[in-house]
Amino acid sequence: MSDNEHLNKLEQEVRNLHEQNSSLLGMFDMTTGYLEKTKKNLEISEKKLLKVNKHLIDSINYAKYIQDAFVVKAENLKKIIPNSFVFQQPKDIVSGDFVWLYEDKIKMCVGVGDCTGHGVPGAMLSIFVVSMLNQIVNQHGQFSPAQILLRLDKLMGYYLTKYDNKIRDSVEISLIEYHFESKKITFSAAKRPLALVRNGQLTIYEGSKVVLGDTDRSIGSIANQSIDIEKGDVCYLFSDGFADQFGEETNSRFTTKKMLQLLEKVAILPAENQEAEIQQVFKAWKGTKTQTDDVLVLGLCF
Amino acid sequence: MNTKITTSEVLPTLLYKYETVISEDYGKVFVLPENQIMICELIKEYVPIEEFKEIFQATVPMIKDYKIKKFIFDKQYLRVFHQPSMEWYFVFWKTEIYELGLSVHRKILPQNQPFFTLAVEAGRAKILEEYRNTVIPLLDIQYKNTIEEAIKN
Repeated sequence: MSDNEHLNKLEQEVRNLHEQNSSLLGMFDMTTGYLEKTKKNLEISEKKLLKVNKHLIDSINYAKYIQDAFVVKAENLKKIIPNSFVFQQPKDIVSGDFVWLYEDKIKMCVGVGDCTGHGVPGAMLSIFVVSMLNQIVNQHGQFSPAQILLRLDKLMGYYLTKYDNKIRDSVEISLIEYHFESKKITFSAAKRPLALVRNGQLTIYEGSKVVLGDTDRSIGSIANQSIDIEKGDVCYLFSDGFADQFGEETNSRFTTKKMLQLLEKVAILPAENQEAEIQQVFKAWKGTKTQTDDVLVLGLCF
Repeated sequence: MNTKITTSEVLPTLLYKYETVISEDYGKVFVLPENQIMICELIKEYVPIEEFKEIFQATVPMIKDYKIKKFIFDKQYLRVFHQPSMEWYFVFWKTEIYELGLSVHRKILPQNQPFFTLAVEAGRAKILEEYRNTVIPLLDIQYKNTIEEAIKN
Protein backbone atom coordinates (compact mmCIF):
# COMPACT_ATOMS: atom_id res chain seq x y z
CA MET A 1 0.00 0.00 0.00
CA SER A 2 1.41 3.39 -1.01
CA ASP A 3 1.72 6.26 1.46
CA ASN A 4 -1.11 8.00 -0.33
CA GLU A 5 -3.40 4.98 -0.05
CA HIS A 6 -2.40 4.55 3.57
CA LEU A 7 -3.21 8.20 4.24
CA ASN A 8 -6.57 7.88 2.46
CA LYS A 9 -7.41 4.85 4.57
CA LEU A 10 -6.49 6.64 7.77
CA GLU A 11 -8.56 9.65 6.74
CA GLN A 12 -11.52 7.38 6.05
CA GLU A 13 -11.13 5.75 9.47
CA VAL A 14 -11.06 9.17 11.13
CA ARG A 15 -14.21 10.18 9.21
CA ASN A 16 -15.91 6.98 10.30
CA LEU A 17 -14.89 7.59 13.91
CA HIS A 18 -16.27 11.12 13.68
CA GLU A 19 -19.53 9.75 12.30
CA GLN A 20 -19.66 7.08 15.00
CA ASN A 21 -19.08 9.70 17.69
CA SER A 22 -21.64 12.02 16.18
CA SER A 23 -24.14 9.10 15.92
CA LEU A 24 -23.53 8.19 19.56
CA LEU A 25 -24.25 11.80 20.60
CA GLY A 26 -27.34 11.70 18.37
CA MET A 27 -28.51 8.49 20.06
CA PHE A 28 -27.94 10.08 23.45
CA ASP A 29 -29.85 13.28 22.57
CA MET A 30 -32.69 11.33 20.95
CA THR A 31 -33.00 8.95 23.93
CA THR A 32 -32.86 11.81 26.45
CA GLY A 33 -35.56 13.65 24.50
CA TYR A 34 -37.65 10.49 24.35
CA LEU A 35 -37.33 9.95 28.11
CA GLU A 36 -38.21 13.58 28.82
CA LYS A 37 -41.25 13.33 26.58
CA THR A 38 -42.25 10.03 28.24
CA LYS A 39 -41.82 11.64 31.66
CA LYS A 40 -44.01 14.60 30.61
CA ASN A 41 -46.66 12.22 29.26
CA LEU A 42 -46.57 10.28 32.53
CA GLU A 43 -46.97 13.53 34.49
CA ILE A 44 -49.98 14.46 32.34
CA SER A 45 -51.43 10.94 32.87
CA GLU A 46 -50.81 11.21 36.62
CA LYS A 47 -52.65 14.56 36.74
CA LYS A 48 -55.55 13.04 34.81
CA LEU A 49 -55.62 10.00 37.11
CA LEU A 50 -55.57 12.21 40.21
CA LYS A 51 -58.45 14.23 38.78
CA VAL A 52 -60.45 11.08 37.95
CA ASN A 53 -59.62 9.63 41.37
CA LYS A 54 -60.81 12.80 43.11
CA HIS A 55 -64.00 12.74 41.07
CA LEU A 56 -64.58 9.08 42.03
CA ILE A 57 -63.86 9.66 45.73
CA ASP A 58 -66.18 12.70 45.76
CA SER A 59 -68.83 10.62 44.06
CA ILE A 60 -68.44 7.71 46.51
CA ASN A 61 -68.45 10.12 49.47
CA TYR A 62 -71.74 11.48 48.23
CA ALA A 63 -73.00 7.93 47.76
CA LYS A 64 -72.14 7.32 51.43
CA TYR A 65 -74.17 10.38 52.36
CA ILE A 66 -77.12 8.84 50.50
CA GLN A 67 -76.53 5.38 52.01
CA ASP A 68 -76.41 6.93 55.51
CA ALA A 69 -79.94 8.23 54.94
CA PHE A 70 -81.17 4.65 54.45
CA VAL A 71 -79.35 2.71 57.13
CA VAL A 72 -79.80 2.86 60.88
CA LYS A 73 -77.18 4.35 63.15
CA ALA A 74 -76.30 3.20 66.68
CA GLU A 75 -78.02 6.27 68.15
CA ASN A 76 -81.38 5.19 66.69
CA LEU A 77 -81.04 1.78 68.28
CA LYS A 78 -79.92 3.22 71.62
CA LYS A 79 -83.14 5.20 71.85
CA ILE A 80 -85.00 1.87 72.01
CA ILE A 81 -82.43 -0.37 73.73
CA PRO A 82 -80.09 2.03 75.57
CA ASN A 83 -77.61 -0.70 76.44
CA SER A 84 -76.79 -1.58 72.84
CA PHE A 85 -73.95 -0.97 70.42
CA VAL A 86 -73.10 -1.18 66.75
CA PHE A 87 -69.48 -1.80 65.78
CA GLN A 88 -69.25 -1.06 62.08
CA GLN A 89 -66.08 -0.93 60.06
CA PRO A 90 -66.63 -0.73 56.29
CA LYS A 91 -63.83 -2.04 54.07
CA ASP A 92 -64.32 0.92 51.75
CA ILE A 93 -66.10 4.26 52.10
CA VAL A 94 -69.51 2.72 51.57
CA SER A 95 -70.53 -0.66 52.93
CA GLY A 96 -72.51 -3.76 51.99
CA ASP A 97 -73.25 -4.40 55.69
CA PHE A 98 -76.14 -2.54 57.25
CA VAL A 99 -78.46 -2.31 60.24
CA TRP A 100 -82.18 -2.12 59.62
CA LEU A 101 -84.72 -1.12 62.25
CA TYR A 102 -88.48 -0.97 62.53
CA GLU A 103 -90.40 0.03 65.62
CA ASP A 104 -94.00 0.46 66.69
CA LYS A 105 -95.73 0.73 70.05
CA ILE A 106 -95.54 -2.95 70.95
CA LYS A 107 -92.39 -4.25 69.29
CA MET A 108 -89.23 -3.50 67.44
CA CYS A 109 -87.61 -5.42 64.64
CA VAL A 110 -83.87 -5.11 64.10
CA GLY A 111 -81.77 -6.74 61.43
CA VAL A 112 -78.17 -7.02 60.35
CA GLY A 113 -77.62 -7.51 56.64
CA ASP A 114 -74.52 -8.49 54.74
CA CYS A 115 -74.81 -7.94 50.99
CA THR A 116 -72.44 -9.96 48.82
CA GLY A 117 -69.35 -8.04 47.91
CA HIS A 118 -68.42 -4.71 49.37
CA GLY A 119 -67.84 -1.13 48.22
CA VAL A 120 -70.22 0.49 45.75
CA PRO A 121 -71.96 -2.71 44.49
CA GLY A 122 -72.55 -3.90 48.08
CA ALA A 123 -73.83 -0.47 49.08
CA MET A 124 -76.23 -0.27 46.12
CA LEU A 125 -77.62 -3.68 47.00
CA SER A 126 -77.92 -2.69 50.68
CA ILE A 127 -80.00 0.38 49.74
CA PHE A 128 -82.24 -1.85 47.62
CA VAL A 129 -82.67 -4.39 50.46
CA VAL A 130 -83.37 -1.71 53.07
CA SER A 131 -85.96 -0.13 50.74
CA MET A 132 -87.62 -3.51 50.25
CA LEU A 133 -87.66 -4.18 54.03
CA ASN A 134 -89.22 -0.75 54.66
CA GLN A 135 -91.79 -1.38 51.94
CA ILE A 136 -92.72 -4.77 53.44
CA VAL A 137 -93.23 -3.54 57.02
CA ASN A 138 -94.97 -0.36 55.97
CA GLN A 139 -97.47 -2.34 53.91
CA HIS A 140 -97.78 -5.30 56.27
CA GLY A 141 -96.66 -4.20 59.75
CA GLN A 142 -97.87 -7.42 61.38
CA PHE A 143 -95.40 -9.66 59.61
CA SER A 144 -93.11 -11.85 61.72
CA PRO A 145 -89.36 -11.95 60.88
CA ALA A 146 -89.83 -15.16 58.85
CA GLN A 147 -92.72 -13.60 56.91
CA ILE A 148 -90.64 -10.49 56.26
CA LEU A 149 -87.80 -12.64 54.90
CA LEU A 150 -90.14 -14.73 52.76
CA ARG A 151 -91.56 -11.54 51.28
CA LEU A 152 -88.03 -10.15 50.78
CA ASP A 153 -87.05 -13.41 49.07
CA LYS A 154 -89.89 -13.00 46.57
CA LEU A 155 -89.19 -9.32 45.93
CA MET A 156 -85.48 -9.94 45.41
CA GLY A 157 -86.21 -12.84 43.09
CA TYR A 158 -88.57 -10.62 41.12
CA TYR A 159 -86.53 -7.40 40.88
CA LEU A 160 -83.07 -8.88 40.46
CA THR A 161 -84.19 -10.97 37.48
CA LYS A 162 -86.85 -8.66 36.13
CA TYR A 163 -85.00 -7.61 33.00
CA ASP A 164 -83.62 -11.05 32.18
CA ASN A 165 -80.28 -10.05 33.64
CA LYS A 166 -79.74 -12.65 36.34
CA ILE A 167 -77.88 -11.07 39.23
CA ARG A 168 -76.24 -13.71 41.42
CA ASP A 169 -75.85 -11.30 44.34
CA SER A 170 -77.89 -11.66 47.47
CA VAL A 171 -78.01 -10.66 51.11
CA GLU A 172 -77.36 -12.71 54.24
CA ILE A 173 -79.53 -11.30 56.96
CA SER A 174 -80.63 -11.98 60.51
CA LEU A 175 -83.75 -10.41 61.98
CA ILE A 176 -85.08 -10.32 65.51
CA GLU A 177 -88.43 -9.03 66.63
CA TYR A 178 -88.57 -7.97 70.27
CA HIS A 179 -91.90 -7.58 72.08
CA PHE A 180 -91.49 -4.91 74.74
CA GLU A 181 -94.16 -6.34 77.05
CA SER A 182 -93.68 -10.10 76.75
CA LYS A 183 -89.86 -9.78 76.53
CA LYS A 184 -90.01 -12.40 73.84
CA ILE A 185 -87.75 -12.53 70.83
CA THR A 186 -88.64 -14.02 67.49
CA PHE A 187 -85.60 -14.74 65.36
CA SER A 188 -85.36 -15.65 61.69
CA ALA A 189 -82.45 -15.45 59.29
CA ALA A 190 -81.01 -16.28 55.92
CA LYS A 191 -77.52 -17.71 56.31
CA ARG A 192 -76.64 -15.76 59.47
CA PRO A 193 -76.91 -16.85 63.11
CA LEU A 194 -78.00 -15.23 66.36
CA ALA A 195 -75.61 -15.50 69.30
CA LEU A 196 -77.15 -15.27 72.77
CA VAL A 197 -75.11 -15.12 75.96
CA ARG A 198 -77.00 -15.94 79.16
CA ASN A 199 -75.17 -16.15 82.47
CA GLY A 200 -71.87 -16.44 80.62
CA GLN A 201 -73.09 -19.33 78.47
CA LEU A 202 -73.22 -18.94 74.71
CA THR A 203 -76.08 -20.36 72.63
CA ILE A 204 -76.13 -20.20 68.84
CA TYR A 205 -79.41 -20.06 66.94
CA GLU A 206 -78.68 -20.96 63.33
CA GLY A 207 -80.49 -19.18 60.53
CA SER A 208 -81.92 -20.92 57.46
CA LYS A 209 -79.74 -21.85 54.48
CA VAL A 210 -81.95 -19.92 52.11
CA VAL A 211 -80.22 -17.66 49.56
CA LEU A 212 -82.66 -14.79 49.26
CA GLY A 213 -83.85 -14.20 45.72
CA ASP A 214 -82.36 -17.43 44.39
CA THR A 215 -84.46 -20.55 44.86
CA ASP A 216 -81.97 -22.67 42.87
CA ARG A 217 -79.26 -22.18 45.48
CA SER A 218 -81.51 -22.30 48.54
CA ILE A 219 -81.66 -25.21 50.96
CA GLY A 220 -84.54 -25.69 53.42
CA SER A 221 -86.98 -22.98 54.33
CA ILE A 222 -87.24 -19.85 56.40
CA ALA A 223 -88.78 -20.27 59.88
CA ASN A 224 -89.17 -18.37 63.14
CA GLN A 225 -87.49 -19.35 66.41
CA SER A 226 -88.88 -18.00 69.69
CA ILE A 227 -86.72 -17.14 72.66
CA ASP A 228 -87.87 -15.86 76.07
CA ILE A 229 -85.48 -13.13 77.05
CA GLU A 230 -84.23 -12.88 80.64
CA LYS A 231 -82.68 -9.88 82.29
CA GLY A 232 -78.96 -9.81 81.57
CA ASP A 233 -79.22 -11.67 78.27
CA VAL A 234 -77.07 -10.32 75.47
CA CYS A 235 -77.95 -10.93 71.81
CA TYR A 236 -75.51 -10.47 68.95
CA LEU A 237 -76.15 -10.17 65.23
CA PHE A 238 -73.12 -9.90 62.97
CA SER A 239 -71.82 -10.14 59.42
CA ASP A 240 -69.02 -12.54 58.49
CA GLY A 241 -66.45 -9.77 58.02
CA PHE A 242 -64.81 -10.08 61.45
CA ALA A 243 -64.50 -13.89 61.30
CA ASP A 244 -63.08 -13.73 57.76
CA GLN A 245 -60.45 -11.11 58.57
CA PHE A 246 -56.86 -12.26 57.99
CA GLY A 247 -54.47 -11.58 60.86
CA GLU A 248 -51.13 -9.87 60.47
CA GLU A 249 -49.21 -12.37 62.57
CA THR A 250 -50.75 -15.67 61.43
CA ASN A 251 -52.00 -14.80 57.94
CA SER A 252 -55.07 -16.89 58.74
CA ARG A 253 -58.72 -15.96 59.25
CA PHE A 254 -59.98 -14.93 62.69
CA THR A 255 -62.69 -17.65 62.40
CA THR A 256 -66.26 -17.78 63.66
CA LYS A 257 -65.16 -19.92 66.61
CA LYS A 258 -62.84 -17.20 67.97
CA MET A 259 -65.45 -14.58 67.22
CA LEU A 260 -68.03 -16.40 69.35
CA GLN A 261 -65.49 -16.90 72.15
CA LEU A 262 -64.85 -13.15 72.07
CA LEU A 263 -68.58 -12.37 72.31
CA GLU A 264 -68.96 -14.82 75.20
CA LYS A 265 -66.07 -13.09 76.98
CA VAL A 266 -67.22 -9.48 76.50
CA ALA A 267 -70.93 -10.12 77.23
CA ILE A 268 -70.54 -9.23 80.92
CA LEU A 269 -69.33 -5.71 80.08
CA PRO A 270 -71.54 -2.65 79.54
CA ALA A 271 -72.43 -2.19 75.86
CA GLU A 272 -70.01 0.64 75.15
CA ASN A 273 -67.12 -1.30 76.72
CA GLN A 274 -68.05 -4.34 74.66
CA GLU A 275 -67.84 -2.27 71.50
CA ALA A 276 -64.46 -0.85 72.53
CA GLU A 277 -63.12 -4.32 73.34
CA ILE A 278 -64.36 -5.80 70.03
CA GLN A 279 -62.86 -2.89 68.13
CA GLN A 280 -59.55 -3.28 69.92
CA VAL A 281 -59.38 -7.03 69.24
CA PHE A 282 -60.20 -6.48 65.56
CA LYS A 283 -57.57 -3.77 65.21
CA ALA A 284 -54.90 -5.87 66.94
CA TRP A 285 -55.73 -8.97 64.87
CA LYS A 286 -55.75 -7.15 61.53
CA GLY A 287 -52.59 -5.15 62.21
CA THR A 288 -51.25 -3.91 58.89
CA LYS A 289 -53.23 -6.45 56.84
CA THR A 290 -55.75 -5.13 54.32
CA GLN A 291 -59.32 -5.37 55.57
CA THR A 292 -60.94 -8.43 53.96
CA ASP A 293 -64.59 -7.41 54.04
CA ASP A 294 -67.05 -5.05 55.69
CA VAL A 295 -67.43 -5.71 59.42
CA LEU A 296 -70.56 -5.23 61.51
CA VAL A 297 -71.36 -6.50 65.02
CA LEU A 298 -74.58 -5.45 66.76
CA GLY A 299 -75.11 -6.15 70.45
CA LEU A 300 -78.33 -5.83 72.45
CA CYS A 301 -78.02 -6.06 76.23
CA PHE A 302 -81.40 -6.71 77.89
CA MET B 1 -23.62 -22.53 28.68
CA ASN B 2 -23.72 -21.76 24.97
CA THR B 3 -21.66 -18.65 24.37
CA LYS B 4 -22.28 -18.61 20.61
CA ILE B 5 -24.87 -15.98 19.94
CA THR B 6 -24.34 -14.17 16.64
CA THR B 7 -25.47 -15.49 13.28
CA SER B 8 -21.91 -16.28 12.07
CA GLU B 9 -21.33 -18.36 15.19
CA VAL B 10 -24.72 -20.02 15.48
CA LEU B 11 -25.76 -20.75 11.89
CA PRO B 12 -23.10 -23.45 11.20
CA THR B 13 -24.27 -25.31 14.33
CA LEU B 14 -27.89 -25.49 13.15
CA LEU B 15 -29.36 -27.98 10.72
CA TYR B 16 -30.57 -25.41 8.20
CA LYS B 17 -29.05 -25.29 4.72
CA TYR B 18 -27.68 -21.80 4.13
CA GLU B 19 -25.66 -19.76 1.70
CA THR B 20 -23.47 -16.76 2.45
CA VAL B 21 -24.52 -14.32 -0.24
CA ILE B 22 -22.70 -11.19 0.94
CA SER B 23 -19.52 -11.03 2.98
CA GLU B 24 -18.01 -7.66 3.77
CA ASP B 25 -15.74 -6.62 6.63
CA TYR B 26 -18.69 -4.80 8.25
CA GLY B 27 -21.50 -7.25 7.57
CA LYS B 28 -22.70 -10.55 6.14
CA VAL B 29 -25.90 -11.71 4.53
CA PHE B 30 -27.09 -15.31 4.65
CA VAL B 31 -29.95 -16.99 2.85
CA LEU B 32 -31.79 -20.11 3.99
CA PRO B 33 -33.27 -21.00 0.57
CA GLU B 34 -35.52 -23.81 1.76
CA ASN B 35 -36.99 -21.58 4.45
CA GLN B 36 -37.12 -18.43 2.29
CA ILE B 37 -35.32 -16.56 5.05
CA MET B 38 -32.59 -13.93 4.74
CA ILE B 39 -30.38 -12.93 7.66
CA CYS B 40 -28.34 -9.74 7.70
CA GLU B 41 -25.67 -9.58 10.36
CA LEU B 42 -23.68 -6.42 10.96
CA ILE B 43 -20.33 -7.39 12.46
CA LYS B 44 -18.95 -4.06 13.64
CA GLU B 45 -19.83 -1.84 16.60
CA TYR B 46 -20.75 0.87 14.14
CA VAL B 47 -21.53 0.80 10.41
CA PRO B 48 -21.33 4.13 8.54
CA ILE B 49 -24.30 5.15 6.42
CA GLU B 50 -22.68 4.45 3.03
CA GLU B 51 -21.84 0.88 3.99
CA PHE B 52 -25.19 0.41 5.75
CA LYS B 53 -27.06 1.48 2.62
CA GLU B 54 -24.74 -0.55 0.39
CA ILE B 55 -25.40 -3.87 2.11
CA PHE B 56 -29.15 -3.34 2.40
CA GLN B 57 -29.50 -2.19 -1.23
CA ALA B 58 -27.55 -5.28 -2.28
CA THR B 59 -30.13 -7.49 -0.59
CA VAL B 60 -33.04 -6.23 -2.73
CA PRO B 61 -32.40 -8.26 -5.94
CA MET B 62 -31.61 -11.35 -3.85
CA ILE B 63 -34.86 -11.00 -1.91
CA LYS B 64 -36.60 -11.07 -5.27
CA ASP B 65 -34.55 -14.00 -6.63
CA TYR B 66 -34.82 -16.20 -3.53
CA LYS B 67 -38.48 -15.23 -2.95
CA ILE B 68 -37.60 -14.31 0.64
CA LYS B 69 -40.55 -14.25 3.04
CA LYS B 70 -38.77 -13.41 6.30
CA PHE B 71 -35.91 -10.99 6.98
CA ILE B 72 -33.83 -11.27 10.16
CA PHE B 73 -31.67 -8.33 11.16
CA ASP B 74 -28.98 -9.38 13.65
CA LYS B 75 -27.72 -6.24 15.42
CA GLN B 76 -25.89 -8.00 18.22
CA TYR B 77 -22.44 -6.58 17.34
CA LEU B 78 -23.75 -3.02 17.09
CA ARG B 79 -23.19 -0.58 19.93
CA VAL B 80 -23.98 2.63 18.06
CA PHE B 81 -26.49 3.28 15.30
CA HIS B 82 -27.02 6.21 13.00
CA GLN B 83 -30.61 7.38 13.26
CA PRO B 84 -30.84 8.74 9.67
CA SER B 85 -29.61 5.31 8.46
CA MET B 86 -32.36 3.67 10.49
CA GLU B 87 -34.94 6.06 9.07
CA TRP B 88 -33.79 5.21 5.53
CA TYR B 89 -33.92 1.49 6.40
CA PHE B 90 -37.40 1.79 7.92
CA VAL B 91 -39.02 4.14 5.43
CA PHE B 92 -37.38 3.42 2.06
CA TRP B 93 -35.78 -0.03 2.19
CA LYS B 94 -38.72 -1.68 3.98
CA THR B 95 -41.20 -0.12 1.54
CA GLU B 96 -39.17 -1.38 -1.41
CA ILE B 97 -39.05 -4.95 -0.15
CA TYR B 98 -42.68 -4.80 1.03
CA GLU B 99 -43.56 -4.28 -2.62
CA LEU B 100 -41.64 -7.50 -3.32
CA GLY B 101 -43.93 -9.33 -0.88
CA LEU B 102 -41.68 -9.34 2.21
CA SER B 103 -43.47 -8.11 5.32
CA VAL B 104 -42.10 -10.36 8.10
CA HIS B 105 -39.19 -8.87 10.02
CA ARG B 106 -37.37 -10.30 13.01
CA LYS B 107 -34.72 -8.38 14.89
CA ILE B 108 -32.13 -9.34 17.45
CA LEU B 109 -30.72 -6.59 19.65
CA PRO B 110 -27.36 -6.70 21.50
CA GLN B 111 -27.59 -8.57 24.78
CA ASN B 112 -27.14 -6.70 28.08
CA GLN B 113 -27.04 -3.28 26.38
CA PRO B 114 -29.93 -1.39 28.04
CA PHE B 115 -28.93 1.99 26.61
CA PHE B 116 -28.89 0.57 23.09
CA THR B 117 -32.30 -1.07 23.62
CA LEU B 118 -33.75 2.19 24.96
CA ALA B 119 -32.23 4.16 22.07
CA VAL B 120 -33.84 1.71 19.60
CA GLU B 121 -37.20 2.30 21.32
CA ALA B 122 -36.65 6.07 21.11
CA GLY B 123 -35.64 5.83 17.45
CA ARG B 124 -38.63 3.69 16.60
CA ALA B 125 -41.00 6.13 18.37
CA LYS B 126 -39.44 9.02 16.41
CA ILE B 127 -39.90 7.21 13.09
CA LEU B 128 -43.50 6.26 13.86
CA GLU B 129 -44.26 9.87 14.76
CA GLU B 130 -42.52 11.47 11.78
CA TYR B 131 -43.47 8.97 9.09
CA ARG B 132 -47.12 8.23 9.61
CA ASN B 133 -48.07 7.24 6.07
CA THR B 134 -45.66 4.35 5.54
CA VAL B 135 -45.96 0.58 5.28
CA ILE B 136 -44.67 0.16 8.86
CA PRO B 137 -48.12 -0.55 10.38
CA LEU B 138 -48.61 -3.28 7.75
CA LEU B 139 -45.43 -5.15 8.72
CA ASP B 140 -45.03 -8.04 11.15
CA ILE B 141 -42.05 -6.84 13.17
CA GLN B 142 -40.92 -8.78 16.25
CA TYR B 143 -37.85 -8.69 18.45
CA LYS B 144 -36.31 -12.07 19.31
CA ASN B 145 -33.57 -13.11 21.68
CA THR B 146 -31.77 -15.69 19.55
CA ILE B 147 -31.20 -16.58 15.89
CA GLU B 148 -32.94 -19.92 16.36
CA GLU B 149 -36.00 -18.21 17.83
CA ALA B 150 -36.03 -15.66 15.01
CA ILE B 151 -35.86 -18.42 12.37
CA LYS B 152 -38.58 -20.54 13.98
CA ASN B 153 -41.07 -17.84 14.96
